[in-house]
Amino acid sequence: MKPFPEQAPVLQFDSISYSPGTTRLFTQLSLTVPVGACSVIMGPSGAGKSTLLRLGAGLIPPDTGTIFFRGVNWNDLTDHDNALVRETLGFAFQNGALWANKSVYQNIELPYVYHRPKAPKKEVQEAVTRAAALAGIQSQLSLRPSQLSLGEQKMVSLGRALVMDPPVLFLDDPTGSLDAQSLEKLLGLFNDLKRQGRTLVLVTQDPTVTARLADRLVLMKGGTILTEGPFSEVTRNPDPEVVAILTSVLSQASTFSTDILDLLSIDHEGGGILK
Amino acid sequence: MMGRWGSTAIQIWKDMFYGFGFFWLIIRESFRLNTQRGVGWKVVVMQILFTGVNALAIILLISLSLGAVIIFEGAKLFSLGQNSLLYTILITIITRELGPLLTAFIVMARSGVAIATELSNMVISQEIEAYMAVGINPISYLVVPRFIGVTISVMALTLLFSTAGLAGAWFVVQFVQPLPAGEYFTNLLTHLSLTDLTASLVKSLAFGMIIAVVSSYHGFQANQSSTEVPVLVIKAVGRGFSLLIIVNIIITLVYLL
Repeated sequence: MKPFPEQAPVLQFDSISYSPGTTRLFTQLSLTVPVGACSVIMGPSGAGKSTLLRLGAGLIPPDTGTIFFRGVNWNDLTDHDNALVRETLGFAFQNGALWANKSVYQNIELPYVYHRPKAPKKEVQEAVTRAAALAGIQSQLSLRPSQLSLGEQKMVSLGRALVMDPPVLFLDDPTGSLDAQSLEKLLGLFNDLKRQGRTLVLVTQDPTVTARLADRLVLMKGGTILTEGPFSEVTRNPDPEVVAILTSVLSQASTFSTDILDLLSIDHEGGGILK
Repeated sequence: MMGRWGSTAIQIWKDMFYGFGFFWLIIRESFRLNTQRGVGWKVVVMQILFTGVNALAIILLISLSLGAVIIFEGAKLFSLGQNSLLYTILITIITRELGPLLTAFIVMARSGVAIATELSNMVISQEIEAYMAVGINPISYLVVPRFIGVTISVMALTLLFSTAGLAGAWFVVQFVQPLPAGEYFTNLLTHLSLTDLTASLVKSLAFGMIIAVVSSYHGFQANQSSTEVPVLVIKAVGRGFSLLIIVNIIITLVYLL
């Protein structure tokens, strides 16, 4: 397989349409997500954020249109090339999606032993331990997924995504169901990954996470992209629909934290729409 | 009314088309089993253990009782001077017709249901997507070992059914209607032809593949909700049984012609 073109966007949706069941979710949707940044996909429930991420990861095929991952069309990949591409992409699922018949250790180990079948046991152990430490689940390696809380399952899913040390990470609501301490730790980890030059594509409804991580923001509603671009531009967008969504998402979150609204103006010059 | 029939026909045609595509994928991946990374023979062995070894008792029970009933009732033909008919009936039912079909029904009801349930639950909990996300082909990793395991098991169980139904049943019948062993086994072997054995073998091979493909195919049809699981499992069993009967008739016709 040829190496990925250096400046190719990490994701490019080219006029895709997708209908899960009888309802049409996306119609002629196009979007480009650049490499080397943290792009956050935000929007109310049912907007299609997670589905867009799964389409982007080549986990579900669109009805029409093409999706490119780092310049490579998912449809053009042979099985062998698909395996090579998957090594460079970690995906953390919203519900964990852990293999129920395997322990936490085996869940994290499997991608590594699959991609490195000849790796010595010690190397595999080191990779699993490193990923588990990053996700903060070292003490749960011998447990089964059913013995974990949803928050812990998400962390195992993150560990599984990190075990191959991929340059691109797709994270579907990684911070939901987490306590404040774990959230803070995770945000630190994501910022570290950003500093290492990795590309993060993140689906969240959490404004704290968005404010602390987003370089770019994609705002969705009802299967359409309302606006997308650099964080400061999107949050200054005067479109009433954009304002309404930002306000709605933020006000939902403000039920849990009174100072969250201020967070939007912390790291980004120009402040947010609500400032 | 006509429109509904039409759409049902189109749906059946679509299902068949996808089903054949799915079957082709499994066959292709089965031939690549040894070259696939991470696809373990351990799962094949586990599947044989579950499908084959754990079903031994029920297969033995049915084959022994069926064989014994046929011998017991068929022995009445002796008084009519039609001794050889007993062996023909026995071999036709146990080895060529009911043996392979009953074995397949039992495996479909046990392992087919288990496979469809397991896979559909995995789809709903996104475990299948998780395999895809890390680059593992779910067909080669999950379906192929089950396909091979079930096929081998059905073939072995059919052979056991025939052996127990033909030979073991004689021992059972001794308690109520003694038959001379020499006469029984000599006549049995005389009447048992290569055609009977190959028909049984071909049927068991086809049935094993059908059970694995139909149950995996329906398992993968799940989408979002756990309420889909029982519906899909019932569909898998219904279609599996229908296909087994149809294929049984076809193979029987081929051998009769």
